Amino acid sequence: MSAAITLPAGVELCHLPAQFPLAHGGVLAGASLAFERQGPVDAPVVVVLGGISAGRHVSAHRAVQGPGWWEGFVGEGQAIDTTRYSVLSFDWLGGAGCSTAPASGESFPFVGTEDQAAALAHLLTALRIEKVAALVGSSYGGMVGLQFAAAFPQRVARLCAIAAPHESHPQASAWRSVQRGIVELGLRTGTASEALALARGLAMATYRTPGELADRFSGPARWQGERVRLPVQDWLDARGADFADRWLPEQFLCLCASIDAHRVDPARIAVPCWLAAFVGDQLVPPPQVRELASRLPNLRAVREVRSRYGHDAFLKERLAVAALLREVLA
Amino acid sequence: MTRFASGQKAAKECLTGALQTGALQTGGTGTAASLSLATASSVGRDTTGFGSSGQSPGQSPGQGSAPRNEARPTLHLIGPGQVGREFLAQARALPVRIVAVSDSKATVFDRQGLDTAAIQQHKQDGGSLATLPRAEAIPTELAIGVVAADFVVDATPTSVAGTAAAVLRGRAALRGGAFLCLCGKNALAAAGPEWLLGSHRARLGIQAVLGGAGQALLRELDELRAQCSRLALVGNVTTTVIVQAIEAGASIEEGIAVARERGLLEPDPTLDLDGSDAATKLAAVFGAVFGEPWLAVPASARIGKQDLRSLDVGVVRERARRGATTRLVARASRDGADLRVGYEELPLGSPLAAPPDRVVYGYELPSGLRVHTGLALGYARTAGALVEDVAQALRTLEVTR
Repeated sequence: MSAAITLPAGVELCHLPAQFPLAHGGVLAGASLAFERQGPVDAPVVVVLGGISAGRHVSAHRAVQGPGWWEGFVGEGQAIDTTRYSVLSFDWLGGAGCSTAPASGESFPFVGTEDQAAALAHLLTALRIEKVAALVGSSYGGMVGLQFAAAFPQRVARLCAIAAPHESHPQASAWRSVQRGIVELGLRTGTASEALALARGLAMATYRTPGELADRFSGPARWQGERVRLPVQDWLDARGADFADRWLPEQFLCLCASIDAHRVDPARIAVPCWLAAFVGDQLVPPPQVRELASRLPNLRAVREVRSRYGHDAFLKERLAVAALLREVLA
Repeated sequence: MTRFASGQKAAKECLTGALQTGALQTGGTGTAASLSLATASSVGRDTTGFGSSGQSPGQSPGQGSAPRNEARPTLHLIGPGQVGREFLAQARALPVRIVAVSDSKATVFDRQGLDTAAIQQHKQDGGSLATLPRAEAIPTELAIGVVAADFVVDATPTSVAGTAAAVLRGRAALRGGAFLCLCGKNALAAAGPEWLLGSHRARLGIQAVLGGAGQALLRELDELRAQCSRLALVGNVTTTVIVQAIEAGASIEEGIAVARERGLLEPDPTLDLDGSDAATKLAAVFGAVFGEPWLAVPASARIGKQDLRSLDVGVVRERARRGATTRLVARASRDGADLRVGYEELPLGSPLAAPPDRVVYGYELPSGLRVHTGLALGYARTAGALVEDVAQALRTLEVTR
């Protein structure tokens, strides 16, 4: 097997073992993990992981300019202060970044959250990092964090899981199943890119709350010929098109399925844990996070934050999330 | 009969030349030679090999492990050494007929397909093909023309002395219209531009030459030729193993012993230790990416090289203590002014800081560093890379049909 990737300046690479075994069967041959580090190399390490569309670039730093997906949370003087911590993040296996992922039309083995956690463990070993000060994961990154803490408790001092459950909620899985069905239909009918954009539009609708969508997109329908056009459609189309420009359908299918297959026994997570849930999150409803909290043997805190941004609150609720991060790192 | 191009004329010329030079010595009589000529002039239609019966060594008519399917493309293996024998084993899964096998002394040939298991065993036992019934002791490049197989798989190990012969074999295969799968880097280093920049490119497999990264190079060659400004490679895993042993506290000699125990040293260990192996790979890739048909690729012997035995183990260990590592890196710039092979400090997150289970080729593009990795190390995986090349060519053939 041969693999080809393109690494932009400032991005580093970790070669995984030649035959990287996968938790649900099969192997990834010759895989690699693209990652970024910022902050002093000899400082305590904080691993920061986001949703499936987040990647290695958390925030702008000296080696890699340009905004990251968690600007305002990570950086000099921010809640995760890069003058005090070395911040490490990576591109998901199977995703749209620079790590090993399916190419167009290529079949790819199933990659679970366990596998992302195992890849992180290998990355730490390759960088000769025995133990990280904290792992902060949101959404899919939180799921991976829970798996990592369960599998490698000796390698993480604290876990902060934001909007992340121990297993996918059936309602969230229902929505994602429809998204995958749309993409698979697109692949079968030669309209994969359009299908991917449509699926992402549906996903966006599930990330937010009814109140937020009402505030932004209330308004009368427009008529385009005989077709109705609603204000929210422009937003969904734009977000969908943007996503389809950056992702391959096969990559979306890989990580979307990975979310739905996620399952970890909270009783196995002995690491001190901080959790956050957002009231209004349709994908990871607070009762599910409460259930997770009730089953964790070493829960330190669970915070519930009311937010009009729903699941996306981990990207938007800067004050509340920053307060939690400071508490974790105190 | 599936041919990438007609090889009939070339085959006839080759055999005629062999007769003129008296090189054709059959296991039997001159009659066999006459029959061989008939074979060569009717390539693809006869079922005889060099002899009249077409019977393979150790094979009774109608027996053998190779599928007797006339519609299958034909394959000629050169070099039934460790890699070649493993190739014979793995190639049984391919829809091809292995019709000829050549070693340094002779060729055995059966248009219907050879009993490759018998040949494998014979070579495994230390036998020479020349001792088999109906083996033909003609120069391999001539045998290539006579056999005129659809695929020529050259699994001959790399040796400096064998470079000219390897190039001759490759030319004979390509001239005859075959798809050439290479294993040795020396031929590609010497003839890369000639083969890769002309019409032969579509009929060349180099997956094994570059340790499993050859298909990626060919797939992206146009882009790399247009945009790559510099290249760097860590292509010698033996030195990576030795460096890692040194980082762990071993002496150079102990590190070499570790590499030898793992079976990683080339037959001539000097090639690994003095940097020649890495320099040859650099020359091969340089020729592919930066070379021009009219511009000679720098001979690997002229590339500046650092010998592993000159390495300061204290420096290597000090780098490791600082959280860095050391690798034998071969580098080249487009203008060829900066060609060198030496031990460099690398950050642990460098894509070139590869573990000893893979090779890494890096190509600097305006968009970033294009990284190709390969896992085809050791004889079994090298053979697997040759199989991948044949399989890839078969897929291409299927598409173009």
